[in-house]
Amino acid sequence: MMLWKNTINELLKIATKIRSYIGIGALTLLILIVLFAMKADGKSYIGFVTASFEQTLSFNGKILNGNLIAFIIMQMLIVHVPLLISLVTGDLLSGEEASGTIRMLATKPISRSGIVLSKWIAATIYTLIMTVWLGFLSLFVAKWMFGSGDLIVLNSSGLLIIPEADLAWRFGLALIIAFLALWTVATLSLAFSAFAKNSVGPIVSTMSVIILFTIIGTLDVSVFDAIKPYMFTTHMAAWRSVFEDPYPTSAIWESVIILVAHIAVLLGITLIRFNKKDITS
Amino acid sequence: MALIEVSHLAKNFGSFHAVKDVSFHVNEGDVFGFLGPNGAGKSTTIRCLLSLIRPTDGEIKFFGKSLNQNRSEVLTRVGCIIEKPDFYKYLSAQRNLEIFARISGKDITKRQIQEMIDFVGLNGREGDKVSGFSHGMKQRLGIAQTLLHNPDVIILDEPTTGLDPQGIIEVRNLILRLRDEQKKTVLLSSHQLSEIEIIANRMVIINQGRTIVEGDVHELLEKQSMNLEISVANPSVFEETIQRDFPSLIARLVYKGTYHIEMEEDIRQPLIQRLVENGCGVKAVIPKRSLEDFFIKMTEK
Amino acid sequence: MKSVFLFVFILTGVVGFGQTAEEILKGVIDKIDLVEDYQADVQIKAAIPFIKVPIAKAKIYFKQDDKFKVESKGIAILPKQGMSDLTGFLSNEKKYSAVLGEAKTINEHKTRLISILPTDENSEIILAKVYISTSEELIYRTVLTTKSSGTVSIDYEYNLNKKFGLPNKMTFTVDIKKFKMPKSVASDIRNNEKEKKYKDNEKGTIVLIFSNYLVNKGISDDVFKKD
Repeated sequence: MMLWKNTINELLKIATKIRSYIGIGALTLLILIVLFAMKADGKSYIGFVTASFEQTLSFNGKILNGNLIAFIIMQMLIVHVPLLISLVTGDLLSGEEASGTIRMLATKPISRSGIVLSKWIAATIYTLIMTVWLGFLSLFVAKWMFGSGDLIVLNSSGLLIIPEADLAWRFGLALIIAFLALWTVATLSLAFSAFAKNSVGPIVSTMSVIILFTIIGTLDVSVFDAIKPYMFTTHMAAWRSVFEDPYPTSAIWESVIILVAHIAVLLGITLIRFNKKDITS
Repeated sequence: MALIEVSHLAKNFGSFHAVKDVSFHVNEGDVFGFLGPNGAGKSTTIRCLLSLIRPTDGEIKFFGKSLNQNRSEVLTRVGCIIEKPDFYKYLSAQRNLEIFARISGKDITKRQIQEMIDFVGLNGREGDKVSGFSHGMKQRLGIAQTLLHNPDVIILDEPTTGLDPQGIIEVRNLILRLRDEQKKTVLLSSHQLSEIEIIANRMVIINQGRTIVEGDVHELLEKQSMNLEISVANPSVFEETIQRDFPSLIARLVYKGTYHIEMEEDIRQPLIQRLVENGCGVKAVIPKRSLEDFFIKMTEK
Repeated sequence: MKSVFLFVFILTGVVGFGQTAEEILKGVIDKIDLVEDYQADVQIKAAIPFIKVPIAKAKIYFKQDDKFKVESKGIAILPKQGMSDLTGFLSNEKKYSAVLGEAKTINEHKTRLISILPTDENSEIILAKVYISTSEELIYRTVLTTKSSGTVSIDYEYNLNKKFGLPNKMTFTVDIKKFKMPKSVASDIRNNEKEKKYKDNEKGTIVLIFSNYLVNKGISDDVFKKD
């Protein structure tokens, strides 16, 4: 009961902090810019994607449509949205430490684990809201502006065209997997927050880890081959696998399991750290 | 009945022993003074009491129950202010109290919150963000937060820090009301020894992480030898007389012509007589048995 | 008598063998000229390495001289060359010279090869090899070499619209040597596989199946306006 009461508290705190709206506002602005850019010059972007084939083939039909825009937005924001989320979630514990309110909170009858779990649940809900908002803007607003149609996807295995009727469930599943990836980022920044005394550290640390792991993931060096499958950044783009034909079920499940495992481990670390912590501030 | 029992409490931060061996108990209805010089381990001890810090050794009991094993149940009945109270600056006073009320372990209505706001004199300001509050207003809000869930034990760590004299008097009166009208038990840590002397009935003094003395305030003060403050017109004659006729006494010069001498009661009369006879020009003789003196004496050892 | 028949037979053979490339082409061109406009439904099935596309349905429109449009609800991939440009090219005899070539049987049809060389050096078509059935005056295969698209081979099948020379099936075989698999536009960090290598001689095919032809029913010029 205390857990849910404090979760309400945490959601209230998130809802009344300006930084929560910076994240949502920035996401909205970024997407609107992409939509505007595509409206202004989307055809040349399409030309870039189909350039290799256009010597021999011609592409007919509505290539530049809302579904393609949604796909492009989801790709482009894979680095940006984690930053916006960690802006809020990285502040959840360290922000209270910095302001001194952690003292007030930790002398209440709620357990240390209850404090962490309620903050984690609130972080999850915030991440979910960001993901749903991303989905709404990229799918519905893009479709309203550009109409609907088949989706043309350029993977490293080639070009794939997915019929419009086959897209709704794919985007739904892609958003679920994207949410898992962002949830991992939120939990990571919360874990850093348990070790820090201010908000900047966790946010910078989270982004540094993502960037570093992403670079390691793209390096074609055999020394890293053993760890790549287990790095969460390798699986942050797992949502793209939903747009393959046939889509790799086992690879997607593998990504889901790795991400869920990361969430569990990071949450465990946060719980252990916060339970053992002496609050001296 | 002892509401708080601390037995051989110890806390190490790495190789640093902040608290080595602290023991004391607080009875129901006490206003208990918790004293010690800077670095004695007071804050660490209080944080251990409130489960902010995990002790290295020792035991803490509230209401006869181990704090370690009954943390939630205990903290439902304990209210506290630790140093300056901190709030969510971006929220209003009312919203802050609602947040803490929600996790206090008791059902607290909005009406009760408003009554508490009125009680601490913040009515009319409850909708204002805490970021715009003065230190005194934050202290009042801290008291409101402490009392909101009607705790049985109240722990106050330096509650008058930064307050003006009026504020200090208000806090003192509040504590007395809590004790007399509401039968609360209060553990009070403060550097305002004069305040402790007025309002506390029992106390403990710790130093360098250990308990030095514990007991009834007045009984402890009664037992100590007297301090006389003597002001004389001829300091050199005074010092000569003391050295020659009362070699066992030590006179400490406090400021020009004024000395403090610690002595047993039966020496007071002969001393004053001799000083007058020798022409020291005795201007004033003031007997002192203050907590301040007692404190200094205890902590200098 | 026998010698008369032999003479007539040889004469026919000489006359038959004696048809020039232009004469053979004329039969085809006459059929092309019968078509003022047409529209048809087309089902497009592409089998091209590194491209996965479902069967697409589209509508095609054609109007003399060279108006051509494909309208599809979804995305359809069509060959760049060989849809309508060849017939338009053939109609203008002054733009090319034709050379008669070998006889060849294609899908049980006896055809003669006509090699068409454009006279204009700026022409997109470098060489067109057209295999025409002299008896039916229908094209059964075209091998088109163009400047930008390489070589594309087209096989034709006919059904109900032979008199107009309109096929019910066209099978395009394209050379994928020209394809260059680009690096992913956005990071696709999942895939650590090396870029797939393709054999030098791999081909891709696009099969178009036509139905519901409406020939010379009139098509407004508005249909061909760009969206």
